[in-house]
Amino acid sequence: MVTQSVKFYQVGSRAVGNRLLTEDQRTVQSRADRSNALNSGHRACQGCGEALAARYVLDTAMRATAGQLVAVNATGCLEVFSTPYPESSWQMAWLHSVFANAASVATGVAAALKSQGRSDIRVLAQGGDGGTVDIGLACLSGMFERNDDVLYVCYDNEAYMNTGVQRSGATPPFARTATTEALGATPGNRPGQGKDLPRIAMAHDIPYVATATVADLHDLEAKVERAMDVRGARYLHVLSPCPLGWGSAPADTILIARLAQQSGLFPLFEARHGQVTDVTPIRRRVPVREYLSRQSRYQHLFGESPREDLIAQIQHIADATIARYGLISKDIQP
Amino acid sequence: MVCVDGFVLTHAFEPIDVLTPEQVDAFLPPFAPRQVLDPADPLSIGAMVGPEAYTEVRYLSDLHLRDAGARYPRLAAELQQTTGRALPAWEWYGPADAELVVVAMGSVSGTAKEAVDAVASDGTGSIALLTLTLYRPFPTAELRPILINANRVLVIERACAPGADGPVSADLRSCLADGRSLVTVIAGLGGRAVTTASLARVLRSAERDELDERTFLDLRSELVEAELARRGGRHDSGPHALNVLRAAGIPASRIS
Repeated sequence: MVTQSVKFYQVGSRAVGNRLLTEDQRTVQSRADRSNALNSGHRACQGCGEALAARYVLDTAMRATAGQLVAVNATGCLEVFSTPYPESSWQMAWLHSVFANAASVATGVAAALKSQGRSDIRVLAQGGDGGTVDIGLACLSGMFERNDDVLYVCYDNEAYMNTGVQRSGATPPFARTATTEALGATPGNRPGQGKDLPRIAMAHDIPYVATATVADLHDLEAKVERAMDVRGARYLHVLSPCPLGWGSAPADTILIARLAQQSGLFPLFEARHGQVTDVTPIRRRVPVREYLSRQSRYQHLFGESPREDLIAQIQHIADATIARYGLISKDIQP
Repeated sequence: MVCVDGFVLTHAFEPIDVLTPEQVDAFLPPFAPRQVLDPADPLSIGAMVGPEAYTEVRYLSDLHLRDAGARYPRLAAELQQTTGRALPAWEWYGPADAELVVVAMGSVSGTAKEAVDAVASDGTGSIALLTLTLYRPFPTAELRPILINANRVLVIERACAPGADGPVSADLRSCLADGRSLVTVIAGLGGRAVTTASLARVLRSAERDELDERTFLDLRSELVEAELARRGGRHDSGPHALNVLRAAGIPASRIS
């Protein structure tokens, strides 16, 4: 397949659209024949990053497999808002079991399909950060270690949003949640804790690991396509802002995801067999303050007595992430 | 619901007598799941049910399980016909009008049979063994008439439920007429061997009505007493296991 990289100089203006591209370069989502795997009418909040990400991921995976796809879902927002019985938004074969075992159920589904000689049907497992980095981590690590033929997608909104915004292992430092109140000398989530699951996945040397955000949906689709080109255990981690839990405007979901990437807090990369093979450079770097100040979960860092010391700590984390992945390319002047 | 006897069967017994695929196919209907994950006929499986319907869903689960109990005898007969294996819901061993009925479940049943034989040969009273295979639905209505003559019922309980009867005792109690005594003998915890001699000893005590309603088989009371004395009457959680092992003289417990 011939690919051509297209630069969108309108980034930031929110004016990027498929109409600027030739037909074959447009997103799956812009096509009339998209599968609408996660159909409209579900109960996600306005501006939900997870619903948007899931729609793109599944429609792309459906296209990549010519519709021969089944999905296994962990418990979480995505499951609850899409399938309050007897309603369902899934226009595809979909199975929910419990919170912890999506990866293991997907392993079983893949094994069952293989034993029936149906390896043409592919398996995708998905969950939020709670189901992935905390509750389901043992099952997921087992799936990676056995290199089972499953693409696992984590929609990371950095806390347990469905149950009332409790801290998860993916909650960032100083973020306020219902269980990490903005009180005391170190308000919000304590720094130095939590899990970086893309790196944990890479440590298993699986064929494909990638990160994406809902701010760059072309990139998200491309990564799903590349993941579906590979057999074996694959992991995709998608930053999915949550207006409810993050205290951000529903209309800002895309903007906030973009600021997470441009500040260096959320690196975009691909890795194969444990080695980073590609990173998305930051073209217009922004200070973390621009990202933080738009979310009420960080409002205790600003206001009358701003906590410049804590903002500086978060900036330091962003700087370290930029250095780790080499996100500032030498040919790009900030 | 299929239950497996923990530890003794899962950890300590190796040979498994598995039916041949032909025998299984002859007994079971063809596998035809009601729901499948099929891209050609997509379904959402495992959707969330809330308070609107969950009570009714559970009611139906209970109904179906109870219905399975009614069909069990016919299915057991079919199984025996096809595979030669007898799997009755329960087994009665000994005189129908026995005064003392011993109830056992799972791997301890063989030992219980030997202990019952030993006690019966004393000729001091009449004793029988009731072995349970069907646990859920619990055959309360079926067991009630056959336990009508039993003066005393003794349950060999392979679990300890602190603060309550064991699970089998609680189920059995619902089968007994008012005023009948039920003794729970807790045995085999943590894989401790249940010997015929120990079991026969407690059965003999039960015949003489000398057994506490709640008895731990082969309990080393001196270790319990020592630990209680050492704690000076305080009921903190403490390193009981280590202290008990030290008092029992287990060498590794003295390494600190």
